Amino acid sequence: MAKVHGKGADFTYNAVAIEDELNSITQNSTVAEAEITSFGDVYQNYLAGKPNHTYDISGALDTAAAQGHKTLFAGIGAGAKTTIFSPDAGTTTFTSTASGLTGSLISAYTINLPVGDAAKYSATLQVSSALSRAQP
Amino acid sequence: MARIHGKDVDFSFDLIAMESWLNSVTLNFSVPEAEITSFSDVYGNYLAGKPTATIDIAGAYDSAVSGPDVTIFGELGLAGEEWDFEPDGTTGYNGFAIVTAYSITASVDAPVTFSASFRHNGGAAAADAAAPTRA
Repeated sequence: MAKVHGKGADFTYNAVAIEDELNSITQNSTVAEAEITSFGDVYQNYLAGKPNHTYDISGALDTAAAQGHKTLFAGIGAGAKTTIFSPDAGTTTFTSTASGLTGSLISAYTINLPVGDAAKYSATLQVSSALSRAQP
Repeated sequence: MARIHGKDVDFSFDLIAMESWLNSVTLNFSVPEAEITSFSDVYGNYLAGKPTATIDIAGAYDSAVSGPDVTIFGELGLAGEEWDFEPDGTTGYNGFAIVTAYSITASVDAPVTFSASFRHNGGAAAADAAAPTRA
C-alpha cells in the first residue's frame, strides 16, 4: 500500500453507503490514562485504559430516500448500528459491528442551511465496544 | 553540533520507523508546579513535581503492513512500547510509551492524514516510571 488521497474514502452506516454525500470523515481513537505514579518514581507513571472510538462526519445534505440524512436521522436514539470506514477505497476497513449493545451510536446530528452556501450536515458517532481493523 | 533543519527527523514506535510517513513530531516535557507561596514571600514560590513527557506525531496515512496505521491502532489500550525520537537523525531521546490518542482524517480534497499522541511511561521497560534516555 502507499500514501493515499482522501477522495476515495468510504463510509457506511447501517448498511447504507453515504460516501457520495460526505466530504470529511475523521476516526478518533483515545485511550484513558490511569496514573500510577508513586513517591519512588522519577517520572510520572501511567497505564493504558480501555480504548474509545468516535467518528466525525460531514457532507452535503440530500433528503432523498435511502441517503445519509434519512438514514442518520432515523438512527438517532435507535441503538447501535454497524459502521464501516475505509480511508483508502476499501483496501483497509475499520468496522463496528452491531450486536446487542455494540456498534455505533449517533451522539450528535446537525443540519445547516446557510443562505449563501450548500445545505450541509454533520454527525458524531460513538462506537460502543471494539473497532476491528481489516486489510487484505 | 549546529542548528538543524527538521527535515531529517527519525521517529520510531514499537520498533517501527515512521519517518517515511511523518511530517511533524513534537516531544513535550512538562513538570507540575507545586505552589508554596506564603504571605511573607515577595514573589510566587514553587517546587518542581515529577516530570512527564508526551509525544505528538502527524503525517500521511498509509495502511501498509508494518506502517504507522497497523502499529498504532494495534497498540490502543496495550502496555507501553519502545519509542525513539531523533530530531537531527542522530541524537535524541528514547523510552517506552502508551498510545493515548489516534485519529485518521479523510477529506475529499486532501491526502488522508493521521495524528497520534503518546504518553511516556518507562525508561528501560513499560511502566518503570524512569526518565527517557537522552543519547
